[in-house]
Amino acid sequence: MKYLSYAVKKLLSMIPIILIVSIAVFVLLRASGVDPVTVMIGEKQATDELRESLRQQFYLDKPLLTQYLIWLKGVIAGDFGIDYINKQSINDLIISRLPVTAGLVVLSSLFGMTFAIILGVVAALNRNKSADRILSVLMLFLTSVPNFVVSILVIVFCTKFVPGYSFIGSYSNFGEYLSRIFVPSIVMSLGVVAMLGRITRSSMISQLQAPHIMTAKAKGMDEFNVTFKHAFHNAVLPVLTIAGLQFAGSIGGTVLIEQIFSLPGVGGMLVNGIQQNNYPVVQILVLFMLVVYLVMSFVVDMLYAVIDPRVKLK
Amino acid sequence: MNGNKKSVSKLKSFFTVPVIITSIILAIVLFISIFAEWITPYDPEEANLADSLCKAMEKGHILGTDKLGRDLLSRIIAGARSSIVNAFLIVGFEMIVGIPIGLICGYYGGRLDSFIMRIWDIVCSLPSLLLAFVLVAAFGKGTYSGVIAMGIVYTPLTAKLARSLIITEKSQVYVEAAKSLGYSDARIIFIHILPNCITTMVAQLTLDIGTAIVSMASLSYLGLGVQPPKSDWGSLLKDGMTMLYQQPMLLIAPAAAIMITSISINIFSDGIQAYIDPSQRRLPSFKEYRRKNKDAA
Repeated sequence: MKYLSYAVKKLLSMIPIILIVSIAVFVLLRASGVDPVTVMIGEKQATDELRESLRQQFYLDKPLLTQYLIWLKGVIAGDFGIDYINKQSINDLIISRLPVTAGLVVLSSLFGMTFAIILGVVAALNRNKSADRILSVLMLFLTSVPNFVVSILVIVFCTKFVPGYSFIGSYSNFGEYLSRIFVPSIVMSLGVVAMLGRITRSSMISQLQAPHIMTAKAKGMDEFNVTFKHAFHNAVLPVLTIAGLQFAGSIGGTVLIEQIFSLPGVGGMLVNGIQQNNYPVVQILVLFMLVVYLVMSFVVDMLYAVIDPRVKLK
Repeated sequence: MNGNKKSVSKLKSFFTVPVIITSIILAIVLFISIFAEWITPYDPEEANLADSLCKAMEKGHILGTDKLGRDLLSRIIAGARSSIVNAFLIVGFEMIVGIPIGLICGYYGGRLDSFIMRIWDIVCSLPSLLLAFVLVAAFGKGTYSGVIAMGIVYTPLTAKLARSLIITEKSQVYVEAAKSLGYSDARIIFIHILPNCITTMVAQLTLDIGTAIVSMASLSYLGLGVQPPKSDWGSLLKDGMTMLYQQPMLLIAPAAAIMITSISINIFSDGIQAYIDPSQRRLPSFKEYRRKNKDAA
């Protein structure tokens, strides 16, 4: 019951953010001064009647507020509108492109979390020994190299030295799909590994020095149990929160990665939409990514409240 | 005399080996980008189809040439100019807009403060790249809209930092003294408090230059930032991508340029951070400590 009211409060507080951002995006895109009808027609010649009919078909003759309300009504009903350039339903476009993006986010999160926790724990257990030194240099290196430069270098490396590796190909079965997104998601997880690894290390070190660990050792508990049951349990808590937020943020990062590895995901759609002034696509994708981000941070908040009983529910 | 000696030893603690190395690298990068026109061996925008796709060290092109026969080294040097200038513009924007807003919010507090902070929270709730995309979509793609978009993305963070600093600073005695002398609020904020905050902000702002270089490069890579025929490191990468199989050097060289600059800035800013915040400074070993104490005695 306590959790339920907390959850409802959190969810309700998301609504104004979503509304404000959607209004801001809507107004900003209209303010850019490119006429949507020109975008729709493109280079072709068009009579005034055609322009007028297009204007009416897409409600562009109505005032801005009405346009926004019509759009919002559609979105709430699950109809994301029609793409200005290909005149296709945006719902279909998103559904066909979502698997790649979702796969990237999930896989990179899994990799990132696993590597980060393993490396962080190893570094903490070997504190101030050579393994720790090497790992901390590695992590410093990984935090400061930009992700997209690394992915470019990875592509160069793979095309030169990995025979038979190709970034272009079909997605007909699950194996192919996985082999397409495998390397990109590893690259995507590197930045997360660096950041989470550092946090895991410091949190594990502070846990290993805590009084309850000394008590456990004094009771004669074996080393393995002390480290992995008592210290690790508490140490991993702060890591989980930051991990969740990182993954939520990585939805923005997929845009670059998809573009570099030329993966047909939602991010590429967003970039194309911006370049072609394809407003409905940009609007809905920004909103979509925002909602995913907010929902993921909500899940993190809830999980944290459930795992850690000390969190005060306000 | 004593004070002078102390400040020398303090400065010495700033110049650790990594800081010396990275500051040399950064000085070189700055030098290159300031004097780009005079350093470039060839004209970076001049096509010469006879020399198309030279390998490195061929026909006098140190890093080779691209598809149109433009000298890669010259293009990277010219790109350094625009990458660095854009990064400084972005950080300048966030300083000029973010710091005053943060200082004013923190100094006065109250309703204005909570209103602006609420807006900041919403802005920060968007992933930063996503926000930049929306702004670029609104302003139209191009160098300056990219710079402004990135500036707007980073402004809330700078403002928040300035605000948190002034909140602790404004209860200091010297602020009270200045108030009792009847100085105006503007004078107190910008002449008395700001210099005390700025040292703490320097490390963050240096780090932001590095982030700005990378994010501007990524915008240009996506074709939303610097537009041809102008180029920066990001758009060089974008051009190089089409020649991935024939001429990987076109990708490796600009990638290395971004990477070296970004790593150097990170380490340099870590150095500044450690210098400003003594709790992060490496403590002298026991032997050194004892020797120093003997000297003093």
